[in-house]
Amino acid sequence: MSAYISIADVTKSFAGTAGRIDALQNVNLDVPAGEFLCLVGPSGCGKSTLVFIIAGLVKASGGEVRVGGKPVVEPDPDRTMVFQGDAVFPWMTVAQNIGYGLRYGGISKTEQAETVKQLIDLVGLTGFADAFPKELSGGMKKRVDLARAYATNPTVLLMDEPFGALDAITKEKMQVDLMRLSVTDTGQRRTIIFVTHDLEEAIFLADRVAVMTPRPGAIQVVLDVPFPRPREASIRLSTEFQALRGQIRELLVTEEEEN
Amino acid sequence: MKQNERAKSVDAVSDEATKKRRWITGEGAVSVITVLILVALWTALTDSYIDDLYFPSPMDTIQVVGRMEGVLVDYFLATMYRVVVGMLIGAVLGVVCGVAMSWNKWINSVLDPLIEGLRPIPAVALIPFFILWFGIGDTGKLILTAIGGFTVMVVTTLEAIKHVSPIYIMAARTLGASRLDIYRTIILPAITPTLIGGVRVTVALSFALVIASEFMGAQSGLGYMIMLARRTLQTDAILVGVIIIGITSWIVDRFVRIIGNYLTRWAPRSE
Repeated sequence: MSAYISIADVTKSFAGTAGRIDALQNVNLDVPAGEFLCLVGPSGCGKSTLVFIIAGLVKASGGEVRVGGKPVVEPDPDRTMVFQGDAVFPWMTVAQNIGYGLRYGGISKTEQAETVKQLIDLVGLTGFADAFPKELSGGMKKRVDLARAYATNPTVLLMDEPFGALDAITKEKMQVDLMRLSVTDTGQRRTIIFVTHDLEEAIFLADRVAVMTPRPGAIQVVLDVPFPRPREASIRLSTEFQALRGQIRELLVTEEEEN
Repeated sequence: MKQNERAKSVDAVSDEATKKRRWITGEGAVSVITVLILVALWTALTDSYIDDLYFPSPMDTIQVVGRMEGVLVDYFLATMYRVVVGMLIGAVLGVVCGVAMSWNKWINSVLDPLIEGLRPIPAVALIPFFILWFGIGDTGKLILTAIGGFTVMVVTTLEAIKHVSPIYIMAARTLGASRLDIYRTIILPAITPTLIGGVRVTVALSFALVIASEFMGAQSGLGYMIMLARRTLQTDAILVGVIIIGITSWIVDRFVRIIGNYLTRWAPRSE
């Protein structure tokens, strides 16, 4: 398969209070259409920055990101994002939040309402359409966030440690739901780039895991995750799973020591 | 677990409903008792120690209201008109300018020095000029009140916009919202709770400015009434003016809070 997202020589530096900070240096990565790719790396290695650049929210200092052949210059509802923090708009109801991206898609109000209704059921928030986010738990808010990102039926989904703040059990449930939802309306798999610092999460979800180096971040190695889908939660306990986890951990620790 | 969450939030909703239905709470009853004790103390003190000339008794005060009835209503309406219209003009202009300044850096460069120049000047200091320019009618008082409200609201708006969490703006951008969409659907609702606070400050300030400008030159209004009563040592009329201003200011503030609570019903509140 050819690369759907191609990241070529992407470099990013910030002007910080303590001088220039090089966050990313010559990042090269190709992601084929329909792949679930997890990005892991030591903290501060710029993995979030990379995802923000792919989203079009942050401009790269050098290099280029192309999605579907077109260079990324600004955000696009075909490339939605789920953030680490709580990005659910507190002044909108659950339904208004989920339907937010549909307002600007040029589809009729009835169609929007229909899509929103389906998504609410899909993420298990039936009965909460008119609730404000303050009435929801952290896990439920994350579901709203996910449904909102799915609503525009994007081909690319960018996720920046979306489940980082959830408890272990809720997190596992969200991961299973995410796998279930990662197909488009037409049955194609979405291309997903998922940032996490949780190695088990990365292996459980990903087709491939990209391991980054410490700052300035670059891609150290990309590993295949051989487990067939659909995956059961129990595969975490298998020897192969744990071996892969150990291998990635080793890569991260060695890099850290060398620096 | 989902079932539990649902049950919990349903409980929360019905709790709120019963709270609303109760006519008075325990805390409310205590507050009423405080007021009653104060009035009793007032009666007792003015009956014995305090000379009516310095502070009138409750009975005198009520009698004055009866005596002045017609003129009191006229004065009250004159003051209210100045407060409400002046405040509305100032607050609306303040919010509009604040939003425009954050929207465009050139608008900001033009308006910022003007506002920063105006802000440190207490608006009351301008009253002599306003009387000179606009006379002692409504115009000068409205402009003065509007300036006071404007400076409060423009600064409140700018600060509030600066503090809108960038995550909401980024989320809206990734979902296809334009800059105008973001102002309409993200920034305006996000700053509303802060703006309500600004409006409450503006209400108090507007009463102060209108009364002060009525002291210095007017032919109607509660401030004018208080000024006249001072010249003839009618302390009971002064007190009536003060009480009416206090009660009205409280009612207007209450009104702003009710509207504000409705507009920000989505916001989590700490009780």
